Amino acid sequence: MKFPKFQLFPKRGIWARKIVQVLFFALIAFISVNHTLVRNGGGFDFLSSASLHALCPFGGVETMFQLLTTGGLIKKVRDSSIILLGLVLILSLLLGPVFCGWVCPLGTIQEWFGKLGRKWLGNKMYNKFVPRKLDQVLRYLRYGVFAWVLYATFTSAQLVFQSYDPYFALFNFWTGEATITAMLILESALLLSLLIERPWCKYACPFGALLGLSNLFRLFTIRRDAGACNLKGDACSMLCPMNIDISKKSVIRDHQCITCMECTSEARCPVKDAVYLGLGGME
Amino acid sequence: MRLNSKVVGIIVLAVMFGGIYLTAGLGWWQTAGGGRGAGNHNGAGESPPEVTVLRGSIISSDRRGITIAAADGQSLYIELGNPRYNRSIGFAPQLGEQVTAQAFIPEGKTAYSAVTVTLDRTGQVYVFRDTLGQPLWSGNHAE
Repeated sequence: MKFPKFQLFPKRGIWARKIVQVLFFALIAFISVNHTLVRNGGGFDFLSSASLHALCPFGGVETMFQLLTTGGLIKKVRDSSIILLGLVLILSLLLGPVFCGWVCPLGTIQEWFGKLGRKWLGNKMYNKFVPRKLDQVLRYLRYGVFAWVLYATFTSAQLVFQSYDPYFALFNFWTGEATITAMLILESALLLSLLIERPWCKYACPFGALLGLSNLFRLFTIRRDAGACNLKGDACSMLCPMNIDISKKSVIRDHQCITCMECTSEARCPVKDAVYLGLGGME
Repeated sequence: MRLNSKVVGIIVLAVMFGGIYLTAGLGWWQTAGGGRGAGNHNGAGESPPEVTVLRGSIISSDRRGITIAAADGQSLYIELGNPRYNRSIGFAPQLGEQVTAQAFIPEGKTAYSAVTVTLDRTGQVYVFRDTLGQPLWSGNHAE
């Protein structure tokens, strides 16, 4: 009698990414909960001094003007934010916005909601609600949000974005520190994730806007070997969470790529070695 | 040269966890610019708080603070600070020990927060907050 082969992860996908996402989501959640417990006299000593602000590389962006002009940091931002920002930028120049695709817990939770949406709606309907032309325009909205955050933070020397930040709301909804606006934005992002993949990342995330620019300079890019590709379909484009038309390009330098690698031959692409993460290349 | 997802995962984990571990080890999670920050943290304000002198013997303690019995019989809870910080400055009073604390009630709170606690027996002064009421372990305090 032959037993079926046991497969821990039966479907193709970038499991390394999913594991990294879970690890970072758990770490940030643990730190946030522990921070609250410590403030109330409980919690674990381990990482007890950490707050969400200490772990947010975007805080480094927000405080940069203050740091350069006065040598100080804006309220609540820690030195660690500057270091983490530096590391995220180095990673982005090497591999693209891997922070968005592999680390950011807000991106991760949107993906989890997206999985539900995809299950209910199916691949044909999910992530296809926004007309292509409108989608192309909306994608530049996040640069507007980024410019506004920089301007408002620079002029007020306060973490203005915290009042609107769904990431802060996600890990502070139990503390009462998250504003109603931030909670509503978080809820909207999660609900929209049931229809559209990563709506916050695509259309509004200011940090994603900054990191997305690294796609223009990154060392390793997603590359498609047109010679190896013998399909007329567009399997690689179909399941790109960021709706990038991979099947029409040889090098992906789209500002929306998050290096999730779901389009590669390691995951969705059915042709061996046709789509991969490789060194260099211009569009 | 090609990279597969496992290599990318290892690079991301190594760099990000390395960064988190390094900054935690260097104490950069607490320090806003090594004290450079404008600081308005943990409920303290930018103007000096109204400090009260409290005197009494310690009747209980927990990870965050002590309760003293004042001369008028009143029990007062005084929040000290982060347990790790308390340990780092060697603050380990015994029950029954007589202390004098300079403390204030932060906005929106009902319990006292200690600026300094002096052990009357030895005269040893332990400092928990600066003159603005900013916790010394947060790094947001005035230098």
